[in-house]
Amino acid sequence: MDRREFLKLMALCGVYGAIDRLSGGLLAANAVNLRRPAAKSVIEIWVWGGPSHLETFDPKPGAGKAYHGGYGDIATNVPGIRISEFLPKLAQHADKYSIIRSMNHGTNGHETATYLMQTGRMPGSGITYPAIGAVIAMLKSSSYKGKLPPYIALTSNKGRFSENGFLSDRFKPLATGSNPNLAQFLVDGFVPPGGLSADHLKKRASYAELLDSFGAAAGSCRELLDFERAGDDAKMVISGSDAKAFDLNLETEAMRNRYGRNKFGQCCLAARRLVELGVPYITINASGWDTHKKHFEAMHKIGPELDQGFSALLEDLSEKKLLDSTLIWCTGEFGRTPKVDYGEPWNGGRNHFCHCFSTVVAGGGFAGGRVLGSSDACGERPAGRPVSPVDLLWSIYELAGIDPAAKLPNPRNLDVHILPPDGGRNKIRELYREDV
Amino acid sequence: MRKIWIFCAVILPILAAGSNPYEDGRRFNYKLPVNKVLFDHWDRNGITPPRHVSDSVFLRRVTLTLAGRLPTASEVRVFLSDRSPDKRAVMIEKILNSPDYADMQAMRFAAMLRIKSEFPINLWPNAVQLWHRVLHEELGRDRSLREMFYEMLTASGSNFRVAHANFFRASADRSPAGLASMVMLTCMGMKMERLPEAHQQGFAQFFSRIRYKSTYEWKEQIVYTDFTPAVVHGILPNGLQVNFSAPGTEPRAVFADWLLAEKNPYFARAWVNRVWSWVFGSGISPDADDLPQLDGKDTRNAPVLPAVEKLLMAEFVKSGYSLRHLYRVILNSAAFQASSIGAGRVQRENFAAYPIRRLEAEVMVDALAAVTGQYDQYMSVIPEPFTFLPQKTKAVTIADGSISSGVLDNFGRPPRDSGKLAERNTASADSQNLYLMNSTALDKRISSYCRRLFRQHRKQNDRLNRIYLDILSRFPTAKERQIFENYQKSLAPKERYRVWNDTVWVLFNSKEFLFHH
Repeated sequence: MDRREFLKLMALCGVYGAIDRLSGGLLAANAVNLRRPAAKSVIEIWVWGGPSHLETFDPKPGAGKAYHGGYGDIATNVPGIRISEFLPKLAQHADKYSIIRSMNHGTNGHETATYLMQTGRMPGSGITYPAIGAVIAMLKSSSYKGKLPPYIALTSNKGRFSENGFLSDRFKPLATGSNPNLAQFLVDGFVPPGGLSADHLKKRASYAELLDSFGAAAGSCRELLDFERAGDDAKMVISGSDAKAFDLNLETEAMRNRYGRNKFGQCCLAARRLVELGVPYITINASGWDTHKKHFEAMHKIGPELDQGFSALLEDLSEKKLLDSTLIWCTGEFGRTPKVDYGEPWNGGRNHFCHCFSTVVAGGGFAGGRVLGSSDACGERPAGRPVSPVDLLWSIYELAGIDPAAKLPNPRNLDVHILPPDGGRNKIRELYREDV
Repeated sequence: MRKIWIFCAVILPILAAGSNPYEDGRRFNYKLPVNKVLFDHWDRNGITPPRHVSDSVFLRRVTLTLAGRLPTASEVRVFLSDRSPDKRAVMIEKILNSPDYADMQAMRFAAMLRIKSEFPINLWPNAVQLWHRVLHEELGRDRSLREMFYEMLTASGSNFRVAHANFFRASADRSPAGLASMVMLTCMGMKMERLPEAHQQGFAQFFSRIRYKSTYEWKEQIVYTDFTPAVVHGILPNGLQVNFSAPGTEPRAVFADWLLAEKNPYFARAWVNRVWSWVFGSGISPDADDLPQLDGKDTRNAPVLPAVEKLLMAEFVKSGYSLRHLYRVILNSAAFQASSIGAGRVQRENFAAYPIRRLEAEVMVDALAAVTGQYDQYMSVIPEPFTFLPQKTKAVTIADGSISSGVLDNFGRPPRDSGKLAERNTASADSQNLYLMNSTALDKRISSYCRRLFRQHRKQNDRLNRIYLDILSRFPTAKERQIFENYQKSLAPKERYRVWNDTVWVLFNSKEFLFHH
């Protein structure tokens, strides 16, 4: 048996095999019975910092200037649904997404709110739970055959906590770094430095094997075998074509323009390319939304970027018949104070606001053109059907084919569930399509 | 039997010496008490004793272990040409007293004590900086760990002024039970969850009077004890009931007095296993986060080298709880100066071979930076205010667990959430190899290294020596020179310059560079 065969055997019976079988088994054992195929991929648009619900999906034109700051609402292509005038393009696609206007939780700190929205739990138990992206990446890893990591963050991590929690580092998001709006989206490690012929790379690889004096002398041990296996996997990525998903220059100029020539827009385009490859979980961490000061000035930049990128993503996925199998959710960790603070030092700013904010869901089993819940006249409290982070996460898991009440297998053998098992009572069933 | 291992340990290696650069066929110093105990263990259990590691590998190993960096090319040259018989002991002493030692220890302590600004510990930046700075200073002067922990366990005051008052803030769970579990892990290397339920609750009472209050200063917090007697007794981890109903009793101090008494084995055992784990990747009881009960009934996770554990505990107490002394004894031992190559499973499990394992994330990233002269930039937009660490900051010296980089995370830097040794991930992953093989950033750094190499050295032989000394801390063997020349000849003339970049690339991707060995 040569080394490669031996490694294959190791992979079959080793730890990784065990994890894959475990998660595959779990998926089979605890899959939700859906009448339609479960969402294959999830795109999370994480509007880091907390977007104002008044300038996005829950405008309050009747609340007075102290609240709306002089900005109004517009009609959408769905009768009866009106959204902020900052989002004219998204208004043309309201039939493809649904709005939850009564999101709320009790925490106004970025880090705690992020953790809560991502894990469905409050901190303090002494355990760091994994984010939904890591859980979905793990549970879908047995059916995902691509060579790129199963959880990809465009372009940086949230950074507030270790998103894989107590799960293996394999399910930590790969933060691509770089910027997809540059001439080359340089995802370090995946996009080769270039300048070397295939022939030269081959020569260099055999030079490396000859020069491996230590490896030849050391004899076999688990650590070195694991390293060789990882090296073989890496070579498959380098020689394979999956990393081309990061090459946005393979798209037409018109397509790139459609998404908007800015970082956020091109992240949305990259996300679509990753969905085409079957990557189970992609998160776009948008920035610039923590608008404590001069909120409306900032909105003139970030509003149109969100509008163009998100609407192009919806339209493009829909045209490519991928929206049915791709679940999108777009939210911040909270909203922003509905009453504008015109005093110093804010000068027309909005602060953190957890009591009422909006989240948008689309595709993957979610219906479009609906609104769930509502807020009061000024957007300060939910007026009907309040929705908690657990209610939202529960439905995302379910539509991705995962039973959130199931036990979460983990390397530390903690006896934990994916979500608190009593959390499903208020899942957002109203927004599921009829065929779910 | 004894003759057989003397033959194996002494004669065979001499026959084999010169065949590889990793062993030198010399004898261990059997007179050291720790070596007597080690060889006795191997002898009695029929385990092939180790072969003696070469000087160059020893220097690399001791520098990585104590200073968290590679030796420089000139340090290697000087050490290899030194003829004095005690040069290894002298080198250990030299590094134990260097500033790099304090950097590396402070990093290990920061992981153990969960020093990070953000979630889920939330120490916040000012407290992180203060605590890390004070630890760095105290470790640099080898303050007694007994004194240091007495202070941590009993400190009250502002998190911005009293560094060790942060000890009871640095826990994701600040309930009495959460704090008790944290204390048990940190001070005794044990899991509280293994105690019976009632015993756990009794132990938690020692921390039930700890309170926190905020001030008008942003993120300042005062840690203090509420002396209103509510609970009147607690149960120590060994089962002893203690009454603390007398007015003014500080339960934390009662616990600290118990823990830090010279006759109490728990504290010394935890430190012996923790330091052993820092040096070898696993403890004398392999899982140093989950040491067994000392009731004689708990057979889990038993110490592999019980006599060595006992000797080190005695040495540690006798030295006045000196961390430096513990390192000194371990690093002078045959277990540390054992060869890592060609060993079988039983030999490895019994520390008759130095364990091969991947470098720590911070150490590897620093090694790449030091060799190429190009450092990563560390910054964080969280926690606020935005933080930009100075250029050329070593990853080992980053105080805050919340400030990281993609590469550090990729290579398994501990998140500092629980303080467990197991948080540090040294497993291999394809994403790490992708970085090493295929990174544009690293490729640029290799090119810049080669440009510098060309400026500094004219002769081909000097250049090759320098690459090997910089990256592998040794000279190339005759065989390696031959392989190099063959490769050079095999390249087309206009591609021949690539031989340098390729050699550096090959060595950065080699096991010999990436692993402790």
